Amino acid sequence: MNSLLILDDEHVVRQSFADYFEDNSWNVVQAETAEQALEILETEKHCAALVDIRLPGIDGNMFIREALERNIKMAFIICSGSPSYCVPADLQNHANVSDTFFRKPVENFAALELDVRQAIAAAG
Amino acid sequence: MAQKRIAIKLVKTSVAIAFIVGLLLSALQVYRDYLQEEKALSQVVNRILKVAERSATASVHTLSEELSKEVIIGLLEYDFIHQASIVDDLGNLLAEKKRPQIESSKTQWLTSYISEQYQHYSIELYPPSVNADTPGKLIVIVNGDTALASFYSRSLVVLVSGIVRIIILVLLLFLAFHFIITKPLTKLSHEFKALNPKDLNAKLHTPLGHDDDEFNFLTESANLLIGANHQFIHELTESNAEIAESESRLKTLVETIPDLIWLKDPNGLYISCNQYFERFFGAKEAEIVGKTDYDFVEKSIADLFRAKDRAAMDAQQTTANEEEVVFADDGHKALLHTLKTPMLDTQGNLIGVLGIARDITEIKQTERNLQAAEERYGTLISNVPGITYHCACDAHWTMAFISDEVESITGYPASDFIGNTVRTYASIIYPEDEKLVDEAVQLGLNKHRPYIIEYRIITVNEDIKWVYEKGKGVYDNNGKLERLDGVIIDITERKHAEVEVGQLRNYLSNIIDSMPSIIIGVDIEGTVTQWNSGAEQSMKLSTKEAVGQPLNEVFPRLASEMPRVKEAIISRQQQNDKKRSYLNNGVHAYEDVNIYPLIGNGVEGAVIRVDDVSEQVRLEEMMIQSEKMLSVGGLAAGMAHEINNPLAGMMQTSNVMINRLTNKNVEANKVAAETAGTSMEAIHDFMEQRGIIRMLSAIHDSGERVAGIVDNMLSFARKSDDAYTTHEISDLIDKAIELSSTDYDLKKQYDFKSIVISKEYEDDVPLIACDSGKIQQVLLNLLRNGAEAMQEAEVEHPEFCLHTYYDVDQNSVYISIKDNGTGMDEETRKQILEPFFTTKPVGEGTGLGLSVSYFIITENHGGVMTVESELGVGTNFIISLPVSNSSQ
Repeated sequence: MNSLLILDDEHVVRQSFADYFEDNSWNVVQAETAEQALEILETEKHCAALVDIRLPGIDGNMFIREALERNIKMAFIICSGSPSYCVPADLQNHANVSDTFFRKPVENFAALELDVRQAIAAAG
Repeated sequence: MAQKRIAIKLVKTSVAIAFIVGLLLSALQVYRDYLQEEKALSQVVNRILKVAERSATASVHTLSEELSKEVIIGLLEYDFIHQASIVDDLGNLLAEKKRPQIESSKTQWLTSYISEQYQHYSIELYPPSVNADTPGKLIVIVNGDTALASFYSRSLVVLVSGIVRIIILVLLLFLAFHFIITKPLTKLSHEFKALNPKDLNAKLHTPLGHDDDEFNFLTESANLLIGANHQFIHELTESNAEIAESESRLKTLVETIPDLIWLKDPNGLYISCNQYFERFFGAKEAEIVGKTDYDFVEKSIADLFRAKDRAAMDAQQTTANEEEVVFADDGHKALLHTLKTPMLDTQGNLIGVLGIARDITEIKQTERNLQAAEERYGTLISNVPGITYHCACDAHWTMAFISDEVESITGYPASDFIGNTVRTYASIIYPEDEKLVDEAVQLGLNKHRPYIIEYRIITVNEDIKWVYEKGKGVYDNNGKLERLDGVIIDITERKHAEVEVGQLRNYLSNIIDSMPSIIIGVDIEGTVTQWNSGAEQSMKLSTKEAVGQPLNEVFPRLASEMPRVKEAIISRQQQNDKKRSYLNNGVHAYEDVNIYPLIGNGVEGAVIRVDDVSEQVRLEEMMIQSEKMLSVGGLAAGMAHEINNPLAGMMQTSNVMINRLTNKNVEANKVAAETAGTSMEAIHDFMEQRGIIRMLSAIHDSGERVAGIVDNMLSFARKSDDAYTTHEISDLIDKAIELSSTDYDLKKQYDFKSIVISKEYEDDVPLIACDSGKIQQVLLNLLRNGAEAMQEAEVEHPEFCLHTYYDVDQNSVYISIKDNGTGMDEETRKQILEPFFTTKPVGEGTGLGLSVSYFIITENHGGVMTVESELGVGTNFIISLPVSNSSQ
């Protein structure tokens, strides 16, 4: 079973993602902060992470970099509510980071799920 | 008195002389008497002593005191012997007897003064038998006083008798003098005294008894003198009368002379002055005489007067000077020319200074005026900037006189021309102009009017100069032409200036014509005086046609500016009417009207400058619009994240809800339904019945709308990342039309196909580099809006006019999308591009569509988008896109 880490400080948004993926048979773990997510990843292994960028403490970009540095093998899909956000070049070109960047609100969950799957496949 | 004086004088003199002489003689006699008396006394005493010697010697020899006594007694018999004594050879007194002291006589003081009262006489006694070394002595003391007694009494008689004699003589002399001299003199003098000097026959009479002496001579001499005196007095009286008359005349003369005349003594004290002078001091002559200048004028002036007086006296001749003075009587100032002459008496002694002063104030003023007039005249003549001449009216214009100025103009000296000495004036006239000069002069002479000619001359340097000549004929009494008088002025510069003015005028009119503005000159009545090419083009009216016409006829839209024109002329202040709007072929245009008053030169009027500022106004409007949108964009960017998160919460949750409530394929749903004792079908039926699915959709749609608004707002701030590609603009339009027709068919029950679409795509429109998606968004938006507007207006024959063309000057492609909808008023037109402005009912449109379109065109593509609209006619959106799009 595919497992997904959802990192978002906005509880309602995080829960809506979690509900959808759980309904579609994903093993979902939630983290409110990047620190919390890193802690989880120390003990658990997940196929992919859906990452919000604006977070209290370490932001989404730093979280991905940190995770990559720790050689954690998983796919990262970025989803942000900020309209001016652009994926930094180092992350954009990384194989483990999805090419598609999702903007909140996400209207089409099916498309998102498909992208997550593709990203996991791409990350190997 | 006189007689007494003479008598006393005579007596005094006689007495003194007689006294002195008599006394001297008497004294001489007394002295001689005294000397004889003295000698006689001494002889007497010595004889007595001789007599007594033998007896005395014997008494000494015998030392007989008795004998001695006898001798002594014998001696004392003489009354003049005062004391006698005999002393022996041993010094013993043998005998002595002294007469008793009698009363001192009255002559004792005299005796002791001239001689000694007691005189010692002694003889030595040598007795024959005795051989002694020391003899005895017989000593006698004589009383001088007694001895001289008889002498004294004799002398007294001599002196007294002498004095008496003198006194008698004096008395006699006195009487003689009185009767012989004093008395006739007194008589004569009385007569002289009583003499009436006016009695011509009066004369003196010789005193009686003096007919042949000096008195007679004296009388006759006096009578001669009296006669001469009478003559003199007579003559004096006559001359006095003459002098008085002459003095009176002189006085009248002095008083009537309009000069100040005065006379001062050498010390500066006034002796006399005339009436005019009185006015100067403001005092009467009587008050002035005896006083000095210092009593009437200030010290400094008085010092000056005195100094001048002294100068005249020292120089011993008349001196002249000028003084500015103030008259004391009425205070008027006057300039005096003063002559000061030292006055001498007949002996040549200085007796004073005569002053004569003339008031030359007016003379001086006249002199000055005359001088000034002469100077002016002289200056005038010398400043005449031309040649003055007298010449004969002949072929050479033979000069009788020509002023020196001719040299500075022609370079030839005046002497050359006078009498045609070196050259004729005719010879320097420019050959072509000779005839002109000749004719002009003849014409003037014929009409007896001055002639005025402008012609050229050739100077010594062979330069050509223009001159202006004005002259006229001078005729003698018989009306015969005598000569020509005139002036010739160098006007070369003026001629040049005229040419320059012509060029300048041309130059200025070229400048005025070359200006893009409309420039119109008007007078105060509003009549056109100037009309430049800008005005010609704008009004399609040539300058010739416009000038002289009323402004409101040739330029109707400026008619309303006439009050401002008048205000500018009256107040002499520039008047402006900025951004005046007017309809230019149905399009709103803007112009600035500036009115400048024409000041000076006696021209009353104004210049109106009209500048087309439509483009500027539009640009300004656009700028404002862009600013607004950018600020909205900035706001949106800040808000978007905050809105997106809750929106995501809402929408994503509703998505999950729909999925859980309706999706039968989800295993969890089925499990949950069964656990709840129902089935997915039942739930679905329930929701269908209660409209829950519709409600969830409503939530979703509303969320989408909010997301759309946020997204649109963000597009004001966000630069497109899309790459620009080149497109045929007509293709983009066609695609947009296609999209529009499908879009509207479905949702709005409005048949887009019912709209007539006329396309006018020009051939030479180049390709455009643009973000095709964004441009399509704009086109769609405009078509949609236009269609809605026409639908609302219920236009019978809705029509879109789509026109594309290329402007070479701007290097831009233009797209015009024109509908025949309701159009809009000016107020709406100005706001139509503003964010959130909408004419649609609430809920039917975000009010961002046009703003976003505007933003895409102007900010993203560097183009221009404008709206033209007329209420009830339609709206025209014009988009221009630059061909060489280097901004992106």
